Amino acid sequence: MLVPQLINGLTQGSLYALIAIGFVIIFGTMNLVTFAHGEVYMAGAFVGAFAMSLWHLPWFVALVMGMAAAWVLGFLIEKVAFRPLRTAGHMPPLLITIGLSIILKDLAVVLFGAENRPVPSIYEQTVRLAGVQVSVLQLVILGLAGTLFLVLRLVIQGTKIGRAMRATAQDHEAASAMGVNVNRVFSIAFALASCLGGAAGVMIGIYYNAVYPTMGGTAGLKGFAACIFGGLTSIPGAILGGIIIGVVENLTVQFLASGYRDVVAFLVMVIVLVLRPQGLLGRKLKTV
Amino acid sequence: MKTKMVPMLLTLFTLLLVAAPVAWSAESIHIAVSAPLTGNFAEYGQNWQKAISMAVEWINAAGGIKGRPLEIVYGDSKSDPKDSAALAQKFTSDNRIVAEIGDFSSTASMAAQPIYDRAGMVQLSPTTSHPKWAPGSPWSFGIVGTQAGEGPFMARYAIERLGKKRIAVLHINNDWGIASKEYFVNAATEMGAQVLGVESYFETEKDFTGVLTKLRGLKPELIYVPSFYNEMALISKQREKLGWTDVVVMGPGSLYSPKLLELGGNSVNGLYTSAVFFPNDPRPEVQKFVKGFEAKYKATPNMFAGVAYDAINLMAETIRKVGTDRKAIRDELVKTKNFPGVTGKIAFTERRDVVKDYRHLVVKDGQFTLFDK
Amino acid sequence: MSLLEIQSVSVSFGGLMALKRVSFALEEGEIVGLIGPNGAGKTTLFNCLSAFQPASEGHLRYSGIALETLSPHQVAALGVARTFQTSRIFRRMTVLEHLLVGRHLHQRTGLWAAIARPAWVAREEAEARECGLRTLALFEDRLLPRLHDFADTLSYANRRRLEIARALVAEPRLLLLDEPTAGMNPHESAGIVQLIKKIRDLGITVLLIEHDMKVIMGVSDRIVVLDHGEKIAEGLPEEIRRNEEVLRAYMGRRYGRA
Repeated sequence: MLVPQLINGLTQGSLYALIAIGFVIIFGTMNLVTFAHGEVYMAGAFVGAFAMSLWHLPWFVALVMGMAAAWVLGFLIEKVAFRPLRTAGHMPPLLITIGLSIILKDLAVVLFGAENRPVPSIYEQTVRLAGVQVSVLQLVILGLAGTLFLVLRLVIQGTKIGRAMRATAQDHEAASAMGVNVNRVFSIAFALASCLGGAAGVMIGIYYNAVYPTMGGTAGLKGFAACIFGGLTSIPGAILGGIIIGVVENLTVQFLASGYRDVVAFLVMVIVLVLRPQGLLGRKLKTV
Repeated sequence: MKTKMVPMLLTLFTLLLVAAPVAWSAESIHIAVSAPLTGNFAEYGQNWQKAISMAVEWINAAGGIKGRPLEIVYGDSKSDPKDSAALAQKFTSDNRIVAEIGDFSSTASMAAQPIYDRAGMVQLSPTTSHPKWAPGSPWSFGIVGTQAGEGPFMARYAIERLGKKRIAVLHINNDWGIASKEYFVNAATEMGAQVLGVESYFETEKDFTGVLTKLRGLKPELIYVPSFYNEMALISKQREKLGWTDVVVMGPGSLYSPKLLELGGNSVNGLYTSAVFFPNDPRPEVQKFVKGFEAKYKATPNMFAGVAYDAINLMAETIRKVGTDRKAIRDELVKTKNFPGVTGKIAFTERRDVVKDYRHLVVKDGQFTLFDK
Repeated sequence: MSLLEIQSVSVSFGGLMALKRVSFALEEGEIVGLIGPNGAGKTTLFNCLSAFQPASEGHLRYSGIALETLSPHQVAALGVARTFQTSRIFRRMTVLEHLLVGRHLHQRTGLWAAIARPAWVAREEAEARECGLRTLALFEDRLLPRLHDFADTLSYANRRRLEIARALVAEPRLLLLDEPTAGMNPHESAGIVQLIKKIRDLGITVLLIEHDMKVIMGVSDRIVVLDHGEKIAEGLPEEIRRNEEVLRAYMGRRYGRA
């Protein structure tokens, strides 16, 4: 049962990683933490679920719609909640995102009801790989997450937009003196982060066959944890952090009891952070 | 998209608008309801609220209780023990309130129990089934039956009716789930079955792939899953996706809900469960409730709505007999022997809970059907 | 028409006048020195020009375009580049990356192009890199060997050079240099004088804030003197050297305090 548990953990972890990357992008560009990220993920999940269950669209169309919706939501959150408070320090935007998270969650309860909403199953079959029965859906999710990591790498690495994001994070005045439209960079960063969160939401909805208004809470927490675990500003770190959390959780279920999964996962994180305060792939020097 | 809340809110507003101008000659009789209206159990609390609102509407339309309108004071406990205890303080110190209905989970009900006990107010829970609940205070009543009765019933179903001897258990990790698991495991062991492993999950869990993979390694013939329909649907779908098909799934009556079929789809075919509430029961009181509920909410009521409906009607009936004195209500309630509830006859044992009459069910072609082999 | 016209510009910080009706103009191809005692308003004027600080009144015209209503990145897009008084490098970026950020305005790779990567994206990157290397050549062997070093590993003087390089790759028409030699030894400062002359030879107009009189006198075509937010003198280096009011401003400050 070890190999199937590793695959379970890898699948779970790659979705944590997508959420964690969102925190990294937002923190890495704006030096801010958003607590509404989990709710953006929830919104993306709902759009994907509706696309599949109400409008009977294929899953990849649902995925694109969920990502697009999360993109728009992220864009709006940045415009409405962050931009007016750019010079107000760290606390006010933080509080605003906590408020937004509550508003979005309760709005979802009022609009869609508190109960789980079913998401149609796809790829219900399994395949045997080297003697191990593997769910096709898990392979699809792993493939998608991997593709998104690669696309993100393309965006961030070696292009104007990626450099502008990093420069803005380190000194937004100096960046704007170079002609970087800082507001636009913030918008794109927030929207991009939200879009990845939305993708994770749609995929988790398909994976667990359910979306529900409170789903963003735990997911947001795990993603944030993975982001810190990985080193706060490192995208590979966030991916590694998410996957380690996912795998440790599933191994805990296998060798201890499922009640301990979060305890052990967070314990491992605490130990690593005590030994390596900068996180797995974080830099020793404080950025900015 | 159609939402569940809209009709409910509309009804509430309409009630307010319509009810307000009716000049009641006498003061309202207040009954408190402590229920999870938000939070993880919100939909069960909303089931209650729908059934209770409808029952109160009918009672008041028929002239109330001896000319006095019935009024419900709702409190949102989120089924959290902290909140249910705080609500208990609030309700017991409010002189207008004559009795309380709630809470949803055993944990929340039992946290509030000492407060109702000290204040001397009836605490009638529609769903609390922990065996220690009703005996815990002379003021506590339970009408859903206890796991002490249900656990052995399900064990007999698994072992004697289905002939499964290798059993694993996956239960929700709260007071209800733990008690449910224990009664089942004890009875099953006594009957000669082998319990290979027991796993639990937390209320908020949605990822069951890990724990299912682990249980699968034990190669059980049957997994017994004391849980609610939401998680059961997820467990079934995820089990199917993992390709684990050579196992029988069974769970207690908490699973019996049309929602399980809707959420679980094909994956819940072949699932064994039991029920105390049947919407197609021909008894007139059941049909009146089901038809009324369907007309009002465009949905078939589930067990949670059924027990809440019974709780409010039983309470109203008791008040009709003895008036609004808190003590008199308790003393009359204890004597209940033959109340025709939609979830079966209500007759309190000396422990102030009831022994329910369960049916053997199995899901077949997406429908709950009687298991009659 | 002058390249830059500053017309009666005032800036007040909560009642305190940092600039009082300052006016002067820059012609294309000039090197103009901006001097004055500490707190004279020199950096405030730079911040006005690069739109970090709105002017309370007055007008700023850059080749006829009003700068008052623009954002910093829009001013940069017009061809105005600047350095900062205290080093404002991107510490966690390499020297080369600084130069690529400097090319921001000359690149058009958006989000979609970054994902799709058509062939021109690679060409654009190569072009930016080449331009960066060309610019670094102006600094002889100071920065070129450290192309892939992170900026926070550079010496103080090299950080100042890097800032100038980053501004230069943007191919500005007007370059605002805020104390480029601060913290440098005389030998290094002399190198900056040579560099500024080379920059002018590239056709770039330079407005220079500087405390080092040797640098200012050695490089400026004209000098503008600010004191307490007001322009007290403007003229050729020789004229400024002999200007009584300028001497009083500097001396008065120095001896008046004692």
